[in-house]
Amino acid sequence: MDWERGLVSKAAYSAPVISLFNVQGSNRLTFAFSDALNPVAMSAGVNEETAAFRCGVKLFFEPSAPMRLYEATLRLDTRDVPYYECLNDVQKWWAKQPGYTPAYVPEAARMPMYSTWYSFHQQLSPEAVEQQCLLAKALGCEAVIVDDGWQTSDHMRGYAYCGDWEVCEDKIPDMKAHVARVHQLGMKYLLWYSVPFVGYKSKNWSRFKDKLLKTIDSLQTGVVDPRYPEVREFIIETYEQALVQWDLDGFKLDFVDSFAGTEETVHKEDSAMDYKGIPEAVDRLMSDIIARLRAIKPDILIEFRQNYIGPLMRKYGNMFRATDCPNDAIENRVRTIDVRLIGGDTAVHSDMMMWHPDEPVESAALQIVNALFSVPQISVMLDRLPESHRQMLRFWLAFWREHSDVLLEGSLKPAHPDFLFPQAVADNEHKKIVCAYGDILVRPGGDRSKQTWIVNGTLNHRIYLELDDAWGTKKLAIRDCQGHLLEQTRIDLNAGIHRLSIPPCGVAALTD
Amino acid sequence: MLASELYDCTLHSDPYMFRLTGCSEQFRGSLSVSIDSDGVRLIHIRLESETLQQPPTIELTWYHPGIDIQGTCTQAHIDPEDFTWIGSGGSFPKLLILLPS
Repeated sequence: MDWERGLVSKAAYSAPVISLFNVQGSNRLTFAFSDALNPVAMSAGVNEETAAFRCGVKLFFEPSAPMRLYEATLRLDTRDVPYYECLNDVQKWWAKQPGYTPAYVPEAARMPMYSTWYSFHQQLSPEAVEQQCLLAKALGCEAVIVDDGWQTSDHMRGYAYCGDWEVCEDKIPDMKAHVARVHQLGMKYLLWYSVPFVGYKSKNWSRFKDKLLKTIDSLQTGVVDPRYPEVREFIIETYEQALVQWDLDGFKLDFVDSFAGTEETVHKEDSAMDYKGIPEAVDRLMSDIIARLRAIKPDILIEFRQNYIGPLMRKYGNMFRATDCPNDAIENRVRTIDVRLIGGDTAVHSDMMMWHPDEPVESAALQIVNALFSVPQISVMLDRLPESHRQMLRFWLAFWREHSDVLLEGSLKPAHPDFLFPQAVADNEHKKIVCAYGDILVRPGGDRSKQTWIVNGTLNHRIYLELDDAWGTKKLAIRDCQGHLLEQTRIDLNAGIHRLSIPPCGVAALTD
Repeated sequence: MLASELYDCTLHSDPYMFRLTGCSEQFRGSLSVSIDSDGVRLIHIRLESETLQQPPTIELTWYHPGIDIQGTCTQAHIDPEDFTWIGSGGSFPKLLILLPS
């Protein structure tokens, strides 16, 4: 009896890799497949009789383009090294495959952003968005992502009115002027599109209703079939026109993972289609989108959402965001770290952070602290927050910007995936940042970097630190979650266990 | 022996036995192995046909001893299409289950 524990990956869904590890986080077997385009079913399930893992890679269980030759490589890594090193090596291996070179990541993709989704939902107005941008810029955000709602007067959620992509003039009478005003505030402007959706109530429904991969009644929308060149051209021209007419800086491209057919449509044959396989057509569409948009603006920002964060997606986009998890700091931690593990240099973003304005400020700070290893996206009405929350945001966004060189670009070591990463460390040659997310004994490793920040990502009022080697005498500065300096002293850090009185969501700096 | 088994191929690379199944007379498969500079094993799959056609479903399998393995890490997450939205209008989308990786 073999237990099947598997996943399916393809161009716009997941990634073909499985890592088996022990409770100390050491790799035991990490296997990855070179073909991230076609549907690949990977599995590693225990065989009851032998206690061995039956591992498998299944190919061509969905229709694909006809071929004479197919070549691919399975990579098996059994080295006794931390699991995250193996996964990082896998992403480097993928990035070297022909045709998988990741897209250029502009510096703007690595700066905090304000998102309208949880704060406005579909009830957008240019004046209100600009007001939030003014406040967000002062707190450290450098771009705004205007989400669903700009294209419809409907406030009922769902996607029935997607697919025409005409600005709703009742809400935003002059989009170009609105974008220009945001630019004057020093913010870049990204606009949301649900790439494959043509809603039941859109004008384009009649145009594309016979060129669909499927319909999703719960979302009131059809999913267009990219095997039709007419479909691809419509999508790309829509973005080109918006980019030029409104002087956008980027796009939040949603629901790319919905490009999936039904049993009926995957086998569809139509002379108007120029691709037989859906993955190849998605690849062509996404490749053409970024190529044509970059031809207009070389620094174009393209955000994708988790699930389509695999190695091929890195060549079509430069920002990967955690899947929606509103007001869920822990889930945001897990998702951002998951994406970071195979994300390489692509800018990994948090899900938009939101919380109740009546939260204790320490609880609100959990939202930021749990997603420190990703680019923060903030999505609360900033003028409706108490001043303590704004001060907390100001402090943590400033901390994040000061240390993004290590938080984003340092070597990331997330411990214990089996316990949802209760500790994560990022370091480079000059500094180290250690985050504790559980009531654990924090083990920061050595003192090579000489400057270490210990972040208390819990609601406890202390952290216990265990040092394998003596760090010597250090300057200690402890701040609370709003950045207030609580203690400044010197501390002898011998090998062993030390109690640091770091308040909830506060931070201690240990420097020479 | 089943007819289909005529076209299966195997590759021994200690301690593993890799088995490629599903190939046919029309689409023949082969396996080879190399080791990279880090000591990582690379299994190369090659499928060939004399005519242009869609390949059959194939599977590469092997067994790995379940020794000192307690966790699995993948990139499998919930589909946003599967979100269950509670109510309508101004309500928030709600995930009914939270799925760790």
